[in-house]
Amino acid sequence: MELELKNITKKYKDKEAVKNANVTIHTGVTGLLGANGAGKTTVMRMICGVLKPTEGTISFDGLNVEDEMYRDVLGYLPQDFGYYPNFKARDFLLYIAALKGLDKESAKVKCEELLKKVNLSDVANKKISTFSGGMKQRLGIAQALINDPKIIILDEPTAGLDPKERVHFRNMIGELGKNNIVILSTHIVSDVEHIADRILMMKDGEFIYDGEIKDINMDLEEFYLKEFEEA
Amino acid sequence: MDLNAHYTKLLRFCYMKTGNMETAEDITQETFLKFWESNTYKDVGKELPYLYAIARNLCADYYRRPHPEMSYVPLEDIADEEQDEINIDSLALKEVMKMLPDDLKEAVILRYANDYLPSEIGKIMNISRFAVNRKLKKALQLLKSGLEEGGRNDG
Amino acid sequence: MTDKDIIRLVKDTYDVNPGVKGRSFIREHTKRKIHLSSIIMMQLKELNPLTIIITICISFMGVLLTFIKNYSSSIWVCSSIMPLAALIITADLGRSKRHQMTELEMVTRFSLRMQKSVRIFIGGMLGLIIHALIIPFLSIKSGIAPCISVLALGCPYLFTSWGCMLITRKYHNTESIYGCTAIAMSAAIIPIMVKTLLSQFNKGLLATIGAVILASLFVAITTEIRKYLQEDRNTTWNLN
Repeated sequence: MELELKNITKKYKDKEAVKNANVTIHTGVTGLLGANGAGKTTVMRMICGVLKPTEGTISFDGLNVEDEMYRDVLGYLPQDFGYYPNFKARDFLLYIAALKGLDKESAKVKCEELLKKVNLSDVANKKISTFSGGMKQRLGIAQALINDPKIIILDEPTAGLDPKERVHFRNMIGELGKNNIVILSTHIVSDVEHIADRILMMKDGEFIYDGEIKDINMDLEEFYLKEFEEA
Repeated sequence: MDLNAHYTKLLRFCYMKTGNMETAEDITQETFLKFWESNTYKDVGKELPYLYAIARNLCADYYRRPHPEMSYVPLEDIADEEQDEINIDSLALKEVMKMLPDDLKEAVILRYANDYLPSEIGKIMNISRFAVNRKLKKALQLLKSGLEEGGRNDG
Repeated sequence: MTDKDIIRLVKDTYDVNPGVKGRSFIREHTKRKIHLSSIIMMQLKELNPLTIIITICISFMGVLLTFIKNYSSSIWVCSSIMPLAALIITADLGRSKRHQMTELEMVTRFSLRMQKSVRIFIGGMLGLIIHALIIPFLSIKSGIAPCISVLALGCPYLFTSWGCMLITRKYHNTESIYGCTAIAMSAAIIPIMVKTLLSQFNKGLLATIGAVILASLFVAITTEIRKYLQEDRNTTWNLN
């Protein structure tokens, strides 16, 4: 399984958010590191088909990002998301499931399964407006997984999670990474240190590092700072 | 029916039977197509046995056609193109597996590669789950002695 | 070698997965069928029931007034009230953006564009059905020719719809609702002005002007709808 970004560029009127990115991402957990404004979210949005690249192509297993079937294997957790008022956790998941084309039966089963996985089963019937930041984030993770995606894009997924939730999340991601492509972006190095197989580093719209985490023989945090100084 | 899971498991079954990934994929796909076309499986609970029966037959057909691989090939000459690195242990296992009778081979794959429960395997192979466990026990014994012998010969 | 080792070895040796062709096969045969009807049903379910209820109430209020006072100019009264219905219906179109659901909805198989199209379709149908019911009835009651009724009811309604869509597309804050209300109110006043003008100007001239305005509004609203649907992948997102 390969997600290929070829010559990806994103230009706005006054800024070049992503400059000629060329990278291939394989099965496993890939950490996308970079400061705020480095272009991480832009890249992720392009991978998800939410934003159209100015130049370049993105493809997965022969599918182009514009294909309906590409979206079918995609799961995305944006940095910020909302919910329709009065939506309860279960309503929200079922709504997303319906949009993803799941039939009612599968949706119900998957919904319960995921609520359990993210420990939200006991609040499934509560309104999302009553949720804490961490709970909402967990719900977000659940909706990203509802269609058994092969590509899982998580933008700053650990924001708002307490240490216990964070550990649980890391385990979940590690599991998912075994058979799927998981890309998680963050500016917190310790998040990826323990779960990522590969690291991509971005600075000012460019990829300044692309390699396996085991090839980095020093503390990831130090390495990160070092790369940033040099780039 | 989660197609992805069933496909993968059937693929492993066929791979064990044919030893060749491409053939295994072709046979797996043909099996599903035949399975969907037919009406026999509509009995609830009989889908898996029927699916594997089709696969078994197709693999048998494959064997009936003349193949050079059917003759004994020394361990060293086998290169599994699917593997990036040649794993000696896996190659040894495959060789020993080839020597096992069909029913034991099937039991091993269905239990240890596909994680089916003995009761499910019993339905697939049309035997009791006790018989399945007996076969598994016997298979493990044979595999153990086969691998140890192989080790002694190489050493 | 223990049994456990052998089992581990079996697992690893036969740990093969479908290749590119296999995955393509699986994809082909697990294609979840999408039915347009299910999208429509879903959007209908998500449609705030208040939207429909209020719209119907408004329409019937206009009609009811004709009974109470037996206005010969009932059509103008109704025409003044209908913009409010347009306001309510159009407001519903901005649901995704208002509640920050656009990003999530874009990534689903039922793309956001499809959902928006369905919403427009439902909104449009609602408006059309109501007008189709009211216009013949009011024409008879007020003795005005149906085509004039179409102009009388259509212009303020379309003007409000178009204006509200434009405002909600350009201004994403909650204050945009004030702009929309202002448009709806202006549209509500116009029929009353026209009624007064009727006695002073040539009816034929007014009708022609009305027709031209209606035609322009159709063009304007079609453009606005197109822009509404296209507003996704090329939207500039806030860079943070």
